[in-house]
Amino acid sequence: MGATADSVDTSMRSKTKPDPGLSRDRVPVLRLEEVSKTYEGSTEPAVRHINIEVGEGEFFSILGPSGSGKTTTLRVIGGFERPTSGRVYLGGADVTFTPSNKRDVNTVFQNYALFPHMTARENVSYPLRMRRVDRHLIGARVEEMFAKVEMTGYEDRKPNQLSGGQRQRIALARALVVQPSVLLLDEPLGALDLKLRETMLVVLRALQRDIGITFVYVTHDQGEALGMSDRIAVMNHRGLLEQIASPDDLYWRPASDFVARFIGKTNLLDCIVDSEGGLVAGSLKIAAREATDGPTSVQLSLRPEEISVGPDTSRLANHFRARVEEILFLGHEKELVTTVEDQTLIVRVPGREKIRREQIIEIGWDLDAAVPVKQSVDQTVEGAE
Amino acid sequence: MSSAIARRRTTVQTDGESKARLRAMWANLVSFTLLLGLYFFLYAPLFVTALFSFNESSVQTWPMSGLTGSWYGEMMSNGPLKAAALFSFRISLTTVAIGMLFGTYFALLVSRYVKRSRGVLLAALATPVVLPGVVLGISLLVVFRMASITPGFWTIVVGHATFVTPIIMFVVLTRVRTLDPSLEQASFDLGANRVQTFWHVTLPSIRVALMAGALLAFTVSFDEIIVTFFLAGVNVTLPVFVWNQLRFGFTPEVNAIFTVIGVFSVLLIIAATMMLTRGSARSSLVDLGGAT
Amino acid sequence: MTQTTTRETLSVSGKHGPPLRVGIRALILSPTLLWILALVVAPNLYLLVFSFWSNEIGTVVQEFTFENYVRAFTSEVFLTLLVRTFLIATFAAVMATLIAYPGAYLVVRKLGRWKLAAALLVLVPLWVSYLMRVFAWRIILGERGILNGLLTSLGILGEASDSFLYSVETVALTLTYIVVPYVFLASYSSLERIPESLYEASADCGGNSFRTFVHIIWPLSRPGVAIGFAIGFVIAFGDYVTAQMVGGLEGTMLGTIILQQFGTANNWPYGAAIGVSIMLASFLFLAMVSLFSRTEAQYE
Repeated sequence: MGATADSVDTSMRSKTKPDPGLSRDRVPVLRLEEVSKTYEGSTEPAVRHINIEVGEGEFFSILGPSGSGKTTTLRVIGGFERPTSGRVYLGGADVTFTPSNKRDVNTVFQNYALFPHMTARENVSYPLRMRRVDRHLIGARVEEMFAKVEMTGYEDRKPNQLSGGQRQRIALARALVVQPSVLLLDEPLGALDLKLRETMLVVLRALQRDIGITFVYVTHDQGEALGMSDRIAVMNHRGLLEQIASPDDLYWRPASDFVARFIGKTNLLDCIVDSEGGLVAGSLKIAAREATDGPTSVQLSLRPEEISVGPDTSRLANHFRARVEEILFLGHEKELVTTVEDQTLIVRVPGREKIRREQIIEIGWDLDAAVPVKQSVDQTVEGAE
Repeated sequence: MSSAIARRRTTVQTDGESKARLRAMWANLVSFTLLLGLYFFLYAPLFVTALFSFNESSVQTWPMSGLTGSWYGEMMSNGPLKAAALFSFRISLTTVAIGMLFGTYFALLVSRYVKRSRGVLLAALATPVVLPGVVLGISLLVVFRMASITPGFWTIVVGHATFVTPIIMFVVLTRVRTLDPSLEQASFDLGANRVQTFWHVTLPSIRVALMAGALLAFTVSFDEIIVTFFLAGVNVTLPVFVWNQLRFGFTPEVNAIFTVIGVFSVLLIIAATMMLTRGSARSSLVDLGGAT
Repeated sequence: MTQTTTRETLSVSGKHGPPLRVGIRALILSPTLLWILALVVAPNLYLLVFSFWSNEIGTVVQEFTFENYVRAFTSEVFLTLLVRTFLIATFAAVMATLIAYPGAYLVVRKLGRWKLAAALLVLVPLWVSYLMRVFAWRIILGERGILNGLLTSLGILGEASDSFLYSVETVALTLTYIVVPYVFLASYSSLERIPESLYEASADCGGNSFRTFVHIIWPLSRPGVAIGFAIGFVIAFGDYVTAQMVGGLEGTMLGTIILQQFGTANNWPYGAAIGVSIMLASFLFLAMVSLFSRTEAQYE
């Protein structure tokens, strides 16, 4: 199973490709088909009609706010929950009812779930012992894994003698030691502090490239997902998939207002199509390339960084005078809350820019900058962070 | 062709599904049968005794000869029995009062004012609970004799207090551990002294645990026999009285007494559990039991 | 781990109010020390001292002697009872563990949100009269009891047997019944502490439920079970009521001799020596059990 790992098509990981998707001729490593799960004693499904295909060697993230059912999805893949309906395929075989100990999938648990009475080495050898691997083969393999996660020298420590980041590495080693076809990671960085999290992000990404195993990564942190993934599935509060796309597409071409708001910051403009076919948000006339035909109302997503500031914005398709209401200093940037007529727009300028409150500034954006998004089925969007 | 493949696949799937279901069903069936066996083993003897308290015959014969409530009537008119029961009540109430006072004090002391010697103190205080009953009984008896104290009401009370107080202490301790220390800090911050803080902040928040611990302690004290037997003087507690009756010949009345005591104790325990589970979500009888 | 400065450990913790002066601290501590001294240290010490005093026709003579221990460990009755009591207590503790541990495992694993209620139901008998729990077995096993009644009416026995009651086996069975809830309690609380994720992690690593139990669950719950087992043993070892009620002559236990020495035989020093032996045996047993069952593990 690990043999083909090195020959993985590198284009799979390319971020410049608009949507890597999956080529039709190859069987996906993992496929979820119409998976729904309703927990016992609950009337609301935790996840609904999930369809996901993950290719070999892909770094695939499931991103969503807490309670969006992303962990449930992962647990269905891992075999810890049976879906109420739908199917799970691993390498083309139906494993919907295969118990987790017989699935070629391993998990890095949220709290690592290391066995507290075993040393790090015993923890990492455990999966090999369960597979009845020859004893003297185990030693070498385990040693190799410790080297891979850079934990050589810590073999005889108990989990409680290790730091959070070290436990994390041991949990990774334990999950990877038998070279599963898919590795599941359930918010593995959630318990670490910011600095360690950044280190582990790099470690994870490098490890994944190195061994070429498919990663399915669950997180509520858009930064983690955008930074590491080949593709991301965004789930909403009701356990529905909003969009599956590459980080680039997700950010610049969000499919719904939910995605637009959940990934990064954005200005959402509720526009109606006026009698001349132009777009109007409140009393603001907006020029945009798309959506001049079709529906009578449309929502546009306009990223703050797409809005330019200064006198030379007059050449842009959209050009307005805005009043600065609030300034948030972020260091490298200043975030401005401005009002343009009756609309509020968030604008970003370099940190060195000298701007006061109540100043009138000129802003503008290009014809392509604002993209139309459809209404999400789920309207209770809270901030992503 | 393709539909045939599709159909074959669905049959395979449902096969896996039904197999998994069947396996789970068997496992559950076996589990529940075993558990029912455990509950039967635990409860059958108790129900048998309760049942026999209504047996007409004065010997314990199966099948029962007929139903009667007369043993309960006889129990109610038994003078020495009532005296023993009253004596037991007085003993247990006094013991529980002492236990509540010292139990709270120990719990607060151990959790607040002692750090390094906490383990030693807890172990020392809990020793009478883990000591074999006979040993605790005779060791106290020896001390009372050395101090020339004649056995009676107070020797029993002191004997009971040695194991009832730690029980209350542990119940209160589990509650104190979950208390937010900032509440007390706030109280000091607002100018209250230690006594005021205890009275207005600490005591109200441990009140429920204290009451539950007291109920639990009451049932333990009321039921105790092994230690009590050594410490009793002329007056005996209810369990010792019943035991003496059983040793010198059997009257079916004891079944009635047992049933009444049993029902009474279980009611107290249910009350204690309900108080605790309603008061603080975490504590329960399982924690209480851990104290005994 | 929280860091404690030496200052904090020496003085009173400042966490719960202003620091206390040394005098006040001593005042607060002294009732506790007095309690421990009077009710824990003194009784055990006096018992020990008593066991080394001699006895002359019912009166205690305060003269140091080994006589009581020599008498005990050369007395055939005492040695027989010691062995018998040890065997009965071991049997009761082992049986109770065999019943209670699987029960606790099933309650924790199978009953989900009902597990607390189910656990309480096992503990309820603890609060029902102790005598009642012992006496019930006389009703069941007596010559005219339920078991005989059932067996004769089913034709399995020609006539009622008197061998069910008043035997070593009856005492062992009754004591098993008495200590099951204690062992259950200890087993339940150690099993309940094991996080669900460890079961899942083991399955994830390819372990089936049997191997998960052997490699993960048993090592992690073993110390708790051992405590329950030891508590069961100590309770059974020091019991004399059960032996007297259902044991008859054949089922006499060590506790019964103590009762005699402090009662009709009126030889307190000898009784004290036996009491000390029981205490030492119990502690030795507890220490051994906890030594052999140790699993070093700390949950995250």
